[in-house]
Amino acid sequence: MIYLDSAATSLLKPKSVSRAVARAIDTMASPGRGAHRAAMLAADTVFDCRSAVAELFDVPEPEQVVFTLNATHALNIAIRSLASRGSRVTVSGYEHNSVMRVLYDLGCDVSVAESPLFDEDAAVTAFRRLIPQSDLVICNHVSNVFGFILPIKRISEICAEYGVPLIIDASQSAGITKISFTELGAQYIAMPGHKGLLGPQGTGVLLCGDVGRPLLCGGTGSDSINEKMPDYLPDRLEAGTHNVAGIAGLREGIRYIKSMGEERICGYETMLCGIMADRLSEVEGLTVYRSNRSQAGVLSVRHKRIDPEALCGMLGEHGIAARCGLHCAPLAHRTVGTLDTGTLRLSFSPFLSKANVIEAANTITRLINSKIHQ
Amino acid sequence: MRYLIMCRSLTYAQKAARLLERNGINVGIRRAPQELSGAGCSYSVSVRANKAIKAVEILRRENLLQGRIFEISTDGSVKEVIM
Repeated sequence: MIYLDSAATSLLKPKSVSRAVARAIDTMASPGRGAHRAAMLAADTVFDCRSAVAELFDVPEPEQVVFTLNATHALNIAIRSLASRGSRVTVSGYEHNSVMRVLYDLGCDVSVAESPLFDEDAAVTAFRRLIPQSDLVICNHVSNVFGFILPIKRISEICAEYGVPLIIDASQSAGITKISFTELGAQYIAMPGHKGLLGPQGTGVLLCGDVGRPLLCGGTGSDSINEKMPDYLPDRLEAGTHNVAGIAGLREGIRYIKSMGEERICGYETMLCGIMADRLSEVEGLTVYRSNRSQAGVLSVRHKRIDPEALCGMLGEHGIAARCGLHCAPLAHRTVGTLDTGTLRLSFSPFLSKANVIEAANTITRLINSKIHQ
Repeated sequence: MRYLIMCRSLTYAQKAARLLERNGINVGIRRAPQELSGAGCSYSVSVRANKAIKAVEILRRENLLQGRIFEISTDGSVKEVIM
C-alpha cells in the first residue's frame, strides 16, 4: 500500500514509537497516583514528553503543555475558555469542524475572514478588516484540505495590535513547520499527536498561554482535598488518567522530528507534493489545487467528470490510501468552491519515497484515463 | 537528616527536581504526607541536609519555591523550618 493519508493520521512512523507504546503498557502505571516504581516511571515519561514538546515549540515552561486526547479536545478546551454565547469570533475561511462546530454549539457570533486559496496577502487583509471588532480570533495554520499555509505570524501581529486573543489550530503544521509559541504570542495552540508529530492515535497537545477553563473535572493526583479543580497547569486541564502509552509513543515521534528538523521534513514533503502536482496537472479534466509558495504537503484534486468518492474507491482497490469528501471542513470547500463534490486529498509523509509518489501518480492517471474512456 | 520541600503538583516537583539535578544536587521525589501538605495528594522534593540551603536558594531564584519546608530527623520527627 502507498499511504497518502497522513493528513488524517500518520500511519507511517518511526519503529521506536510502537516499541515505546508496548514498553509503556508493560511497565508503566499512572503519573501522580503513587510513588511506586511503575508510577514514577510513567511520571518521568510524561514529564520528558512535556518538556520535549515545550522545547520543540518554544514554550517557556513545561507545565504550559497540556496533554489531550486529540486536537479536537484541545480546541474545545481553548475555545470554551475564551468564548461564550454572543462572543464575536473571527475565523479563517479554512477552518475544520473541530473549530466551527464548537463555535456554533456555544452560540458565538462568527465572522469568516474569507480569502482566495493560496493568497496570503488577501488573508491578512481579510483578518485586518475583522479583528478590530472581534473578541477572539481562531486561525488554521495549514488547511487540512488544500495545504494552504496561512500567514499566522502576520495575523498574530494584528491580534497583538488590537489586544485580541488568538487560538491557532496547528493540526496540519505541528512537526512539519517550525512553530514558536513565544514568537506567535497566541493564547493557545492546539495540535494532534498522531499526525505530523508521529505519535499514536489518542494523543493531542494544547500549548497554553493561560490556565484556561477545564472541559473535564476529576482526579488530578494533586490538591485532592479541594472540591474545585486546581488553578494551575497542567493539572487544571488534565483530569483523569493520562494516556501514558500514547504519550510514551509521542515522545519518540518528537525525538525523531528533532533529529530530522521540521524544515527538512517540510522541504521533503513539499517536494513530494510538487512531484505529484506536476504529474497530475497533465491529466485532462483534473483540477489540481497547488501553489509553489504557500502549500505544505497536502494536495487536493478533483475531476470534472469523476466523483472524488469513486476515484478514491478505485485508488483503494489499487493499493493507494487517500481520502475523499469534505474532510470535516465544509467551510474550506465553501471558500474554494468545491462544496458540491469535495475533493480527493493526497497527503505526504517523510516516510514516502519519490518512487512511491511517482507510482501513485501513474496509477491515478491510468485510472482516470480508463474511467473517462469507458 | 533530610529536608522535604513541598510542591503544589507532581509536575512542579519534577521541574524542581530536574533543576536541582542540573545544579549538581541529588534529589528524590516523594509523595508528601497529608499532615504536611494539608492538601490531600501532593508531592515533595527530598534533599540531604547539607544541600538544603543551596537547593532552596536555587528554587527561590527560579520562582519554584511554592510550599513549606520540613526537616525530617533520623528518628522520624518532623519540624517545619523557615529558610
